Amino acid sequence: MNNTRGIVFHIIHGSFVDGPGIRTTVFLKGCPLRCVWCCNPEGQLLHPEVKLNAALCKACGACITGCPENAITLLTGETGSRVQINRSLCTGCMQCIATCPTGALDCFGRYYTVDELFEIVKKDEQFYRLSGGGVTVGGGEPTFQAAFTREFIKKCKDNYIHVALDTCGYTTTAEGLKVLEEADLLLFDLKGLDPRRHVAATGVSNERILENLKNLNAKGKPIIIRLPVIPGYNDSTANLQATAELLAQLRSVERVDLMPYHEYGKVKYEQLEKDYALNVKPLSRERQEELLAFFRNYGLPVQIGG
Amino acid sequence: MKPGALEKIKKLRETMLTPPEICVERAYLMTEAYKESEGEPEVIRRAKALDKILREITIGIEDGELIVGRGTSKKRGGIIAPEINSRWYLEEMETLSTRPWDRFAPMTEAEKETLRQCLPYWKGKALYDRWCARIPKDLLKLHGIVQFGGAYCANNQYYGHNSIDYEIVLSKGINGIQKEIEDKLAGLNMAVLEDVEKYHFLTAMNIELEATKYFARRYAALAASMAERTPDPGRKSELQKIAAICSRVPENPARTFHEALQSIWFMYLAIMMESPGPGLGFLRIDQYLYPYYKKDIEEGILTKEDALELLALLYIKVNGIVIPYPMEAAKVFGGFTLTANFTLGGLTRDGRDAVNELSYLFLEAEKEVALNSEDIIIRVHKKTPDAFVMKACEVARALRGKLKFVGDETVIQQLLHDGKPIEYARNYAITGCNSPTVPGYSLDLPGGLTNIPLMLELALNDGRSRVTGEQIGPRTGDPRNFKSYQEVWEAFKKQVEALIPACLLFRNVDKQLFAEFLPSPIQSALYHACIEKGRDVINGGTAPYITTAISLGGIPNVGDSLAAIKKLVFEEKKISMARLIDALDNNFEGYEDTWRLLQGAPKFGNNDDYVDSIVNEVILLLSNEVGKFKGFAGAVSNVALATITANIPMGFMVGALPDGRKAGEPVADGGISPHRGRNISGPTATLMSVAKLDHIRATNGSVLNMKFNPDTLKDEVKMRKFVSMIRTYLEAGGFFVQFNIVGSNTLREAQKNPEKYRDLLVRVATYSAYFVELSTELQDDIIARMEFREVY
Repeated sequence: MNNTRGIVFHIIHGSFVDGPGIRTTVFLKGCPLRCVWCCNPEGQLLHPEVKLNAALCKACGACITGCPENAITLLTGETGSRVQINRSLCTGCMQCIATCPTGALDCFGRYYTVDELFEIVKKDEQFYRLSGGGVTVGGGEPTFQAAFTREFIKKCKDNYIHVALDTCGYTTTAEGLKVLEEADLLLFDLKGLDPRRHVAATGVSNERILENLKNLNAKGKPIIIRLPVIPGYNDSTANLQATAELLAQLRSVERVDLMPYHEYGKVKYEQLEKDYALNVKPLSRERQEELLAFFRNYGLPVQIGG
Repeated sequence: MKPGALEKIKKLRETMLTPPEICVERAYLMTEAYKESEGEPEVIRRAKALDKILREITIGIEDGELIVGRGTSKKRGGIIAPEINSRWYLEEMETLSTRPWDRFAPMTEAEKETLRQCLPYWKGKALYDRWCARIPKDLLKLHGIVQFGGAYCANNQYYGHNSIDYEIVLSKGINGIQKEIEDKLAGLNMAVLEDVEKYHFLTAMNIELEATKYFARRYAALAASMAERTPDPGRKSELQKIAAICSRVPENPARTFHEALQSIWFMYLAIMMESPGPGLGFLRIDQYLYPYYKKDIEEGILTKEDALELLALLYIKVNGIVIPYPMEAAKVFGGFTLTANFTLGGLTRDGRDAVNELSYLFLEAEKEVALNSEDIIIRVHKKTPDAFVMKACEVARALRGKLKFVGDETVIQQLLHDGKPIEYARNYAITGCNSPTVPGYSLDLPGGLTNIPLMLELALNDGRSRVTGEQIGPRTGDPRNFKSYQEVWEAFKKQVEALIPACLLFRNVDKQLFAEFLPSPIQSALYHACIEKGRDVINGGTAPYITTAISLGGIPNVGDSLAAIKKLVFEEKKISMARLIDALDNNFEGYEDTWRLLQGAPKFGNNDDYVDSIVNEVILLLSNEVGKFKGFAGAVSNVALATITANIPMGFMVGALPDGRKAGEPVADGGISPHRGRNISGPTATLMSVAKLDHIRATNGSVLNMKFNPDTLKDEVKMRKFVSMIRTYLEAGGFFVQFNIVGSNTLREAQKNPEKYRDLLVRVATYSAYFVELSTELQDDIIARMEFREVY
């Protein structure tokens, strides 16, 4: 029995995009970075959060009386009324969810033991066989719950299930580094090479990330690089050039996946009542083609998406 | 395909995209023939009627056609069959061109007059009238509530789902079959009454076969005369060839690929004109045509391109026949499809991989045609090459779905379970929407779309409908007093036991009446045992291989509802039985908290054993209950998990359910598709929920619809994943899956601008239809179904 607990905010059975073959993708909560373009904001904090689907809220007030912290108030706007949650008062007790009659309130984040989570992903095992798939742990950042992730990887590997990690590469602990080493494949995000700009856009410097990347490369760990392309943030020719030059030297890098900016995450900011700070346009098709050609010039196998 | 051929295909295809016309000639000729033959044995009257139709109906050859023969007097014509159900034509004649869907081109005044003249003859004689008279009055009212389409005659359909063996006509020709009839006739003993029946049956078959030969000769003559008149030398030689082929087949054995195609097309037409019904198709056509193809290619008289062109032309021809349905039936079978099956791939009779070059050509031809009546079924066995499944998936992607994938391992087990020999089982084809059957040997008729959620509602309302208040089932007690899950289950079981006999009655009386008044000697000629036994195919000619199915609708809703009751009422005690019933009575109004709790209960389609095992128990309960009774002509009764589009009318008849579905909303589509919007865990979870069910006990098949965003299949790597996902599902015990590969944005756009999307084919329930021809409700239903979008 393994009772180490971790917090998970989503599980997809049958993903075609998170690594080779058909995958079960587990999204862990908690991330050391705060990328301005983050499309999974519900993955940032390490505790459960209330999800508010405003369209369903009928402003009945049941949750207001149900909240022991008095964190919920009624908000009356031009388009009608709905509740709002004072997130600094919210303790995540989730009592409000039970009182909501419409389903407007829900929860991001659930705790699982390693065994419980393994039983859930194992249900897809037959699909891995023919497709050469497996489990992908993403998030959030999987090294952020290092002890849990390590145990989970071990459990999968004991059962001959391939494990990929979708990681930002930022970890400073010995256990976090172990997590990266023990996975079969890393989907390694590279958000920019200029340390200062990296701090501005993500909240942390990229020095540790680059160091980890080089060390893992030296150890021969299979790596697929994921490059989020966010116009105005990391798509300058200088950054792209520096990135391509670095990657061209890394022998463990099997492929580079360009991840063009998309707006699918917007709705989750609304659900968390957070502001969406970014105001950029998704990449045009021409620009995507241009970028592909750019990386190909460096002899790198490159594609759009994962 | 050759450039000229491609253009021609495109042009001919266009004619199939215009609203069909109504053909009144068959109705007129049928009526005249019956007036002339009163008092004669029914089977002889049948034969004389087909004889008259085939000799007198207007014929025509379209520009560019190489396979000829129309099923009606029109290019794309609706067949009127007053002998099955005459009353609705008179009632709905004026609205056929204006009704919300399944619309026809307006009829001329003269055509309407013809119908007004001949339809009244059938009052009291049409099969539907006889059926209504034969069903006990108090049970008759349940048709259209508990069961939809239980009587084919009510739907204006013959039993087209039969699975004939075209090899019989290809190898023997009609002449060869007639020789067997003669021999059989010569051996009859007229002192034995049964032999007298056989005499009339065999005589009728002979008349119909003779008439089919005559019909082919009419086409030979027409082609020859057109050849003389045409100024185009290329077309002249084509017409001369057509004339030569039509004067040779189906009378004689086919010698070439082209002859074989023309021969089966004439047989198909003769059957359609005698017994127009959806589901009649071409079975394992890549198998029985292959020897002709191979020989012609080897002899250098046929190229791959020629073959491709002929196959495309055949697909187009299939779309030239339409069966008009009364409005009530069109709700259930909407979309003008004939589901003419073409079953490809799978195993050979002796257990080898059956995929051949022709299997691929059929796929390639479909890519060019992509109309709605040709129905492509891909049999997938472990031995089936990936290349073939990949090619099929590519075509499915190009066609936004359409193709059906079935699992050989599962189907073969089903047929063995039903008592068929292994070499029969391996040779199965899929007819109609989802029914496995053995060409030439067995009759496995589906039908009777049965409202299982209603039965649960009755258990939760003391036998009364929550919609009408009417007492429909037995009184099983005030559900507020149920003290355990077992009591709920027992009440449901009692409702099932009480209502299934009526459902079987509708089906059996229907078959009995077809056998008595509208048998099908021409179809019987293409079964191996019918001549020998002297019995019609509907009348037990294929014994002992006969099954009659009931199609169970809304099983996922029943499973979800029972799981919610079990968990929330009796295990977690979060809702009292009384509160649940109050909530259902009020359609959850004022009970939003209860509704919310119910919504959160385990739902089928997420690979959750808690609810999936209950779904399976419901299937087993019904399979056992239905299996207790032998049907007409000794048929084994079995079940399918299919609703076609009856999930919508079924929903109208059912109030709020404990699964959180509100009154009047459609129940789950397809048959075993999770209720829309509830499968939120990803595609493999949905597939496994379905694959783990005991499909062997649902021998007549099942339907799982899944919607995929085209983005998820955009390149070869993803397509490979898709292929392996389908294979894993089928090898893990799945029976059937079909896909809608189209974004909901496209569909919304099509609702707004139907004219731009006339050729937008989507899978509706178990078959494909033109999206824009469907009702708004059905369109909304399709859009609302779960879409697997990858945004993480």
